[in-house]
Amino acid sequence: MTTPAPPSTDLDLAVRARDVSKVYGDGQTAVRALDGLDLDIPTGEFLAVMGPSGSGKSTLLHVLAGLDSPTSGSIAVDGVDIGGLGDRQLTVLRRDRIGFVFQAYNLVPTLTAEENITLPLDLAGKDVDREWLARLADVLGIEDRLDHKPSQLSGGQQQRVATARALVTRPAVVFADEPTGALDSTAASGLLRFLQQAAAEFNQTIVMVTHDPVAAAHAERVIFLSDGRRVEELERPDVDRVLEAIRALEA
Amino acid sequence: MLRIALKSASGNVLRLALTGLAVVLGVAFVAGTFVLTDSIDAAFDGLFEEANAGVDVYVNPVTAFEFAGGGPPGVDQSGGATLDQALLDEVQQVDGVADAIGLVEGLAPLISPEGDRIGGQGPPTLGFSWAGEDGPISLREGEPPTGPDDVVIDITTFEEEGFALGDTVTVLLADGPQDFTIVGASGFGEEDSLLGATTASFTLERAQEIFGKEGRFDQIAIAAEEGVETLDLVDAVAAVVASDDVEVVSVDQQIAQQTAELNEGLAFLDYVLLSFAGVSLFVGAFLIVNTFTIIVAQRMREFALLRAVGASAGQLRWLVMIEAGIIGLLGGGIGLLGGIGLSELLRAIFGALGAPFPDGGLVLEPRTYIASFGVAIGVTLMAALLPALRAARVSPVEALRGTGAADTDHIGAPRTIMGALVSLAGIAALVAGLTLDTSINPVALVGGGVGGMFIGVALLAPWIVNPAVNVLGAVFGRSTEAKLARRNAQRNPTRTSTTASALTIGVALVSFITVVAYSANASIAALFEEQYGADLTVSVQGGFGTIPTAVAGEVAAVDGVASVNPVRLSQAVVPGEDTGFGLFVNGVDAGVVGDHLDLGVDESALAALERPDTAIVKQGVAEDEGLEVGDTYRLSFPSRSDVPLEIVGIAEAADVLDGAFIVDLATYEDVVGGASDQLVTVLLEEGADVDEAQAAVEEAVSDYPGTQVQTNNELLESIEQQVFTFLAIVFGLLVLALLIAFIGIANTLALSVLERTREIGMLRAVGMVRSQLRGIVYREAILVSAFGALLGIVIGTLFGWALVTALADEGINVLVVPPLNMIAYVVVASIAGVLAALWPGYRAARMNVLDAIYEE
Repeated sequence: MTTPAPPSTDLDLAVRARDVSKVYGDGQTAVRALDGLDLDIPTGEFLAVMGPSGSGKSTLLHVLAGLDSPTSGSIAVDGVDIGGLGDRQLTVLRRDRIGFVFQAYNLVPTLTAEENITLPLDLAGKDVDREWLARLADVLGIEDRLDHKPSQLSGGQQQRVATARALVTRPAVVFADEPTGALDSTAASGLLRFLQQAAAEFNQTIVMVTHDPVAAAHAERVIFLSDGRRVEELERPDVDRVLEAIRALEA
Repeated sequence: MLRIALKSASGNVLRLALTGLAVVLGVAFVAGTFVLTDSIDAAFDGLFEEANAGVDVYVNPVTAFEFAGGGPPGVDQSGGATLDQALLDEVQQVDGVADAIGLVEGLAPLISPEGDRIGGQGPPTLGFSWAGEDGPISLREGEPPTGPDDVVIDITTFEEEGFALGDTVTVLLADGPQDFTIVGASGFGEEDSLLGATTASFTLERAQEIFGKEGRFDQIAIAAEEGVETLDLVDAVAAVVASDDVEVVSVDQQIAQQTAELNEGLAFLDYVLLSFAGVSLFVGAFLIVNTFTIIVAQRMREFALLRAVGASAGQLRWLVMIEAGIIGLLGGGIGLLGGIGLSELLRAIFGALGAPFPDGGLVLEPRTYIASFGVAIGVTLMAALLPALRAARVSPVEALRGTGAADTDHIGAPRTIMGALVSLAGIAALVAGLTLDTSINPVALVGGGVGGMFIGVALLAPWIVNPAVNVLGAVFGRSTEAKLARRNAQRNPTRTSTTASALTIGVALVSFITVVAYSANASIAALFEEQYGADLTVSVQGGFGTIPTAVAGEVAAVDGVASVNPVRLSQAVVPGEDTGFGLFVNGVDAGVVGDHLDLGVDESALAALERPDTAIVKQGVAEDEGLEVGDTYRLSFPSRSDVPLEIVGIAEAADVLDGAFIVDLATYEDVVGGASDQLVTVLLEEGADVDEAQAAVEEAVSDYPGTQVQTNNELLESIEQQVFTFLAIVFGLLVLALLIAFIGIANTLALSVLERTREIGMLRAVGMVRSQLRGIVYREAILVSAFGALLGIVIGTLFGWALVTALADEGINVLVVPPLNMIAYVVVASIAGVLAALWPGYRAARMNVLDAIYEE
């Protein structure tokens, strides 16, 4: 069951959010995690989202990815308005058009690395593009680990397998939630370089939530959230400028 | 620690309720058995007391023999020792005797106005001499019998058949049907019915005549004069009449004896209920072990934290044991209530089947409480012991480590060694119980052996989970759901096999009994083929009860009938030994039996059998007792005690007869005195048409309603039908085992789903739709169920094979494993598995994806 995509006016936008708000609770105790946010993410961009704890950066990722629904506003992913989709349609959208990388515990422990990577395709009953799979495994340096179970892999290897899974469907956008949070610095920088490469070489749109200035500096653009609003934005950031922006926001 | 345990228990009400349910079921059967037995006892005590009101002392004939009830259908119970009528005068002369009366009883089936035999499908059809208003039979309507054609029938039959006073009713007596006039209707004490029995009361003289007891009494009832002590009167009467053949007992002794006989008759009910209880508790124990093991694994961090803040290992042990104790306590209480409900239900069922128990309140003896709570708490604590020890072994450091997911395909060496030892011990006990002549009770050996093998197999089963799931899982194809379901079932083989063990045990018992039943049927069919020379068989419809001896004569006169052979069946006892209801003797017509049945003896043996006090013994019995031709074997019968029977032949065949010994009709009438046949075999003249002859014989016996004439094919079919009726009980066991297994699978899956929350969240995030997720849970349930059922079928078939091998001497020598039944058991078990997975599957599918991913 698929829903025909409504005609889109922004074909070059992977994600388009308009006036998105998310309110938890009501009355006195209501918390506005997102407050009338607008965001356009062009196809092929590597975007980092930063902000202090409680700024709404994780909530933004969840509503953009269809894991949570906004209280108001509209979101289109790959030209599809996800506001009107039911659970099944959303799930299929996530399977076919969206990739995920989480902080930890990313893999199904009973499946091998390769089975984990091809999971979204297997769930959809689609054929695996073996060439693409081999290319991803090669670039990520896990080609000799494909038969291993997650428990036989290091944390960095597990995260690279998860990244391969996120990219295997050639999704419209990959959402990464603190992907380096549980990795040591070597593994982290390897993964970040790969994300950069994916955006540059494969024109892969990537949205990464992070609190690590080093990670954010690998992105093409960084936006800063505070109290559910976009308060700052940096193009072509480096670590110093990111740190500077954070200090300015905290002041 | 108690407070923590209570809080922990109350926080997991559903989980504990499911675990406790298995205990509840088991206890309900235990409690139900006791409540029913005690209540029936009390009710019958009251009934017998009432029925014996006005009587203080009885004079009975002494016999080594008591009809024990049970045994094969068609046992002749009309015979028995009697008293000389002259004793009554002597008794009446004794000081202190106010009144004395002679009583006679026999079998008197009634014929309904529609021409059908009333009752006769189980409850007895009793005939009595009228004992006056003080007798056990109390008049409800009309008058007592005064003339030879008068009869008083029981009020239940009177009302149900729509009789009126003055109507004619036909009574099926030994020498043919006779008409009587209904002059009254009676109850049994205050009850309308005695376990559904029909009664017919005649005048004393008429009863003596029709039951063949002219000048004799079965019993003399005595009423004491005012102020005379019963025991004094017993002594006084005994001084006058007591002898080797006559005893005098007080009414209390008589009631105790009647109650004891009744209880023996109802003992089968206890066996059935208690075996259900045993299965529930045994299977339930596995369920509790599994649940506690999983819970303990999931709570390792909590336990470690408790250790870190200073709880001792002993306190952790107590924590788990107290939780188990709470389940046991609650299970015992609820099970007790369930048992009361069960006993009421059974009473209602017996009432609906036409054999009502007398009214009376529920009786809860102390033993019922002790057994209910003792069993419940005992089983739960035993089952929780290993998990409790494991909880106590946790090191405080584990509190700081990651999740406590219990994925482990490690199967401990101690478990394997233990499993092998217990299995071997079980096999040894089973083999010993089936084959050896030991001093240990063979039933205990076999039961212990079976239990041991179940435990041993349960301990070893994890080793075969993974290969078995690979093979079974192939059914589901190569989809991702199938793969995930397979791997989930293989994540923790120990958990999977323990969950499946409830089904294994239930299905093993069912397959075992199925194999035995089908093998028995096939063996019986083979026996008939080889040993049955007769062409037609006359017997009682439904198989219960006996036919009047006059029938054989009517059949013999039919054109085309070459000869008839009445077969009678009586119980017998070895003098001085309590043989229960195990020993039976057949009476046959020695002159013709050789043409009707192949007994596997020489002509000369049959000729010798026509001499008085001779018997042919079946080969198996001869071997057990060391008997040879020419030996003398002593047996006590209803009419003659301590009869020296000369063994004139050893029957190598004769398996179609129920008795261990076979005597000629003349000897039978002398020692048993009976007046009814179990069946009559009919041999037709050469070339006679079987169907025509069957019609002619049916015509000849049409005056004897309830009598059926069967060709050999029809007879075989009806015997097979009886075996299949027995299988119905087995399906009760299957349902029970399925129910408990159902609880176990639901419980384990729900806990597994909980344990895999984050994984499920991740699967949903990367695109698994709800139906796919549910599909995984259902498939895992099917794999677990099918594994359990298949293992059960293998074990059950092995048990069946062992028993059939052991019973080869008893005539069961063909092994049949019906494939359709076995397939059906696996399918039914799998469906039950899916049903059990519905709730866990729903829970998994409904999980909030975000909450699941970020679950701590």
